[in-house]
Amino acid sequence: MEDFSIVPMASQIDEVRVELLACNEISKKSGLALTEKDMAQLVDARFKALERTGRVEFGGGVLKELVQAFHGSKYVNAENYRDILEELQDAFYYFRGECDGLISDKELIAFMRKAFDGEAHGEIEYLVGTSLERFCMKLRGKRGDYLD
Amino acid sequence: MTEFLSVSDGLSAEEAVLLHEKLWALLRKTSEEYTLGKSSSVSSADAQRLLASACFVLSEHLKYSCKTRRDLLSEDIFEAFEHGKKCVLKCCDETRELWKSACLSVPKIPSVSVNETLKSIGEGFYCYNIDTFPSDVPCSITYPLMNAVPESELGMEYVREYLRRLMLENYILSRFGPAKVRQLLIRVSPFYRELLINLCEAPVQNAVGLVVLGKDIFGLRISAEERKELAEIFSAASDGELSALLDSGARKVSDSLGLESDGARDYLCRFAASLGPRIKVSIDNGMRGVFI
Repeated sequence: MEDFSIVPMASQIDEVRVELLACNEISKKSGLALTEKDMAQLVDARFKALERTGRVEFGGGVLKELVQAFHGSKYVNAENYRDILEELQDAFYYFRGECDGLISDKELIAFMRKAFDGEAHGEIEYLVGTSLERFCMKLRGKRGDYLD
Repeated sequence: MTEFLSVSDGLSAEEAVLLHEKLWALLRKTSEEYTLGKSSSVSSADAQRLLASACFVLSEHLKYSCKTRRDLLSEDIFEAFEHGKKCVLKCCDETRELWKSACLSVPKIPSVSVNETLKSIGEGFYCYNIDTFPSDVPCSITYPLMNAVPESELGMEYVREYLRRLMLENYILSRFGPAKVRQLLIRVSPFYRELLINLCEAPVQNAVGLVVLGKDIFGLRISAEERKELAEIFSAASDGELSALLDSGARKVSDSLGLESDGARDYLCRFAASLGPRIKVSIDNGMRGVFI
């Protein structure tokens, strides 16, 4: 079979940027906003994360959902806002692949927020290396799959 | 499937991009249906299948509407897709009828592979996923044909073409005496019933060989001496002469078998033409493996 081209459509890039502009309206309540440069970097990071994790999105991504879920976190501030979003996005796509079919995007993001504010105390490394790993193993254990 | 998006058939680069955008909008909908709205993304493998399926369905729409890809630029892609699905359903109905006929036309020569393939095809009609992956072949087809269906055929089109060819082979095979065919197949292998071997190849190969020797084809037996004679004839022939020998041999076999259908005659000739490379390779080996 031919390689599937994951080159993003120009319309997809525009759509995400429009969504992020709308997100600024939501996050400004928390004193957070993304600059044009931030948005361009996040969009670029999104497509790189998709390629890295072997996933494809035909429509919009989850940046809007991540902003909506995390802008109110006490561990997110104006200095780390863009970096945190980028790392959350990376983590999301990685664990999306690990839990494919077991959980919805909404449920995964809800867990990420809960763990980020809870046991991870705002540490992305802990969220990714411990909380999410444990969560996925538990999900797969329920289905009967076991990691080697 | 990316041929669907390529610049060919007069489609310009700009038009290909427009078509790409429309296809992406369609894939957004089908991937959302596939994930039941629970995920914004799918794995690359699933994306591949969704794209192949969308291109397959749209191709069916174009084929049955006698339209080109350029026409899609001015059409509603979702309506075109729905029409394409109706065409695929029609293909399913035709294939089901063909399957029934194929089951009835199976020759009285036992083959586990033929039976399992037909059984799997029959079950496949119930699990054919027309909504998400219509380009998938919904069954396990293990019985090999004399002339394989090209991989470019997808979904039910593949199955329909497979059954059409199988019926041609059953028709050709039915023109030989079943007892002689069974004896020949036992010489190929005593376990032929359980093996994944085509039942029609050996009889047709031997028939072509016997015609080249100017002998009666219905005995279906070629002796060691006759194989030696064939090796001498074929080794002396140039590539062009070999092709001509096989072509005229196939036509004479078709005449002897009384094949009335042009489709069956063409099918047999196409198979005979494919024997050329195998014959050349087996000359030094006394033509064993080709004529039995």
